[in-house]
Amino acid sequence: MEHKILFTGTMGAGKTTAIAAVSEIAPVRTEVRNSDASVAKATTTVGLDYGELTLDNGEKLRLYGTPGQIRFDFMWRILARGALGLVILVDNSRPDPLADLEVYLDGFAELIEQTACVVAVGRTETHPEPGLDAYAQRMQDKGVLCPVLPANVTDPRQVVQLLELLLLQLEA
Amino acid sequence: MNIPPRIKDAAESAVDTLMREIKGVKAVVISTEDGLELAARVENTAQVARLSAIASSLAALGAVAGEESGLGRCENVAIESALGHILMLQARHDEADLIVSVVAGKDAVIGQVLYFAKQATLALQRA
Repeated sequence: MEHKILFTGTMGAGKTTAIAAVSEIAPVRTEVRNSDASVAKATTTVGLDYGELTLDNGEKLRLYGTPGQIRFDFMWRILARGALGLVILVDNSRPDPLADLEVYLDGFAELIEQTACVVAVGRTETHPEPGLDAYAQRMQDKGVLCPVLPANVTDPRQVVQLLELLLLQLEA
Repeated sequence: MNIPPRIKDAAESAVDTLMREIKGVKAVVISTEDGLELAARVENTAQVARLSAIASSLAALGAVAGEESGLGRCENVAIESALGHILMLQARHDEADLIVSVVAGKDAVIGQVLYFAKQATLALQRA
């Protein structure tokens, strides 16, 4: 059984990192030099990320990552085709992470409605606010029901946990 | 944007040259490799931001395709559509890698478009 899973979220939230952390193959990356002075990051994904992972139960996951910036929303639509689930990565150290979340809830509304979604909030150790309740509330306000949890996507175990949680949603 | 004014001026100049020299040209956009517009001439200005981002993605995908196929780095991406051509060329500068996108109608001669676009990338690389 193969599933296409999509990672999205703001630039710097860890999409490329998450896929690289768990991929069994050398991940496909399309990172280039970042020239947006408002974001302190050397490189940014402009096409897609791709990796593969086989879970303990034998399920094979094809992992795709989107570019984060809204100017690449045409890639969001291309990559969302055929996806069975979505992981939204949010960076809690950004100025308004709840507004960031809304961008992706709106941008992937159709996919979220049809499949499953998990929201993973990063950098909560250094930036505890907003708390997870605020995320849950914001999603509820938009009529979206999906789990939200803190995650450090540099840790492969936590990425696998996110993916397993996503698959559980699909089975529910 | 972290682009030196010298390079931005060179991009403006390259756009002017391409619009002047290429028969059948509809639009020229020069953007950073992460899809931010640097200089452009296009009938519909709303297209500029879009074309910059699309050129960025296509160039990056072209680079992956070239590397995965053992063919080395991507020099350009050419698209032939029902009503014309789009050519996207990489201009590699030490301070900023850029993408030159030329949109031309069916009446354009593709060889001529490629020639002038390559000249423009060389000029940008020397800026």
